[in-house]
Amino acid sequence: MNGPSEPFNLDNWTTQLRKGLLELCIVNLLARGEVYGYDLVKQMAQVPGLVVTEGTIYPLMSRLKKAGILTTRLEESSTGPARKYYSLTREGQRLRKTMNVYWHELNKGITGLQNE
Amino acid sequence: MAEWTPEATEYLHAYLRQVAVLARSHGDDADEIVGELREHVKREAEGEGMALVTLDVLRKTLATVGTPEQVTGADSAVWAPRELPRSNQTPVPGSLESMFKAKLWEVKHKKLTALGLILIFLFYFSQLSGCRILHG
Repeated sequence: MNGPSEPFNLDNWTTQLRKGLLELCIVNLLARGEVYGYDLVKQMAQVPGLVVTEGTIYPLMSRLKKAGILTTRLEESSTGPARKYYSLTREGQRLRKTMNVYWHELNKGITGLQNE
Repeated sequence: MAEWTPEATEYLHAYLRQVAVLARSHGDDADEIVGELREHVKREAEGEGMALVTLDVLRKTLATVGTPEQVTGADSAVWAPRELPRSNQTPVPGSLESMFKAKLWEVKHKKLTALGLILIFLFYFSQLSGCRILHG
């Protein structure tokens, strides 16, 4: 009997799935209030199942800032260089709501499929 | 504040340089990303009460931060893969592999320059020969 010529790559699938959820996690974490960049990365790393490589978050945040979703503020620190704090802009808050609505719809739809 | 060995300092600089190059090639704000990463790595490496940050300590820290390709998304697997095929792994700055790649690039560069010079010489030679034939 012949095996599959191209076996399904589960690792690749989970990678793509996680990757697509990153922005959603960032905007939801920032909805709680302003967060220091380092702490935000550490909180992302704590999200179960997300398996974050810590350095990958900074380029994402930089892109979200460029897109007007996030804004930053520098605060002097007594223990080292000035710390950069991230927060959501109004546009970011709007985007967060839209993303969450979509995520809930998608989640509901897929859960429905699982229960059929 | 912890002290860094010269090897660890040089390794971090090489790592951040590589991140900057890749970030720029993606149209990202390289300065911002490198600044944030530098702070992150320093906090991690010095955070556990380390008086001296050695190359070993730094390497362990960078393992959680990701390779320059992973960080900038140059690698298709942005997220920590369990295993990366050897060909997709980034040569560690200063490693034998990265030095070999740099040497290979240097050799290729020299070969291309030599080829370019030969072509220019041939072009001028053909022009000169053409003139001589025309003018008898």
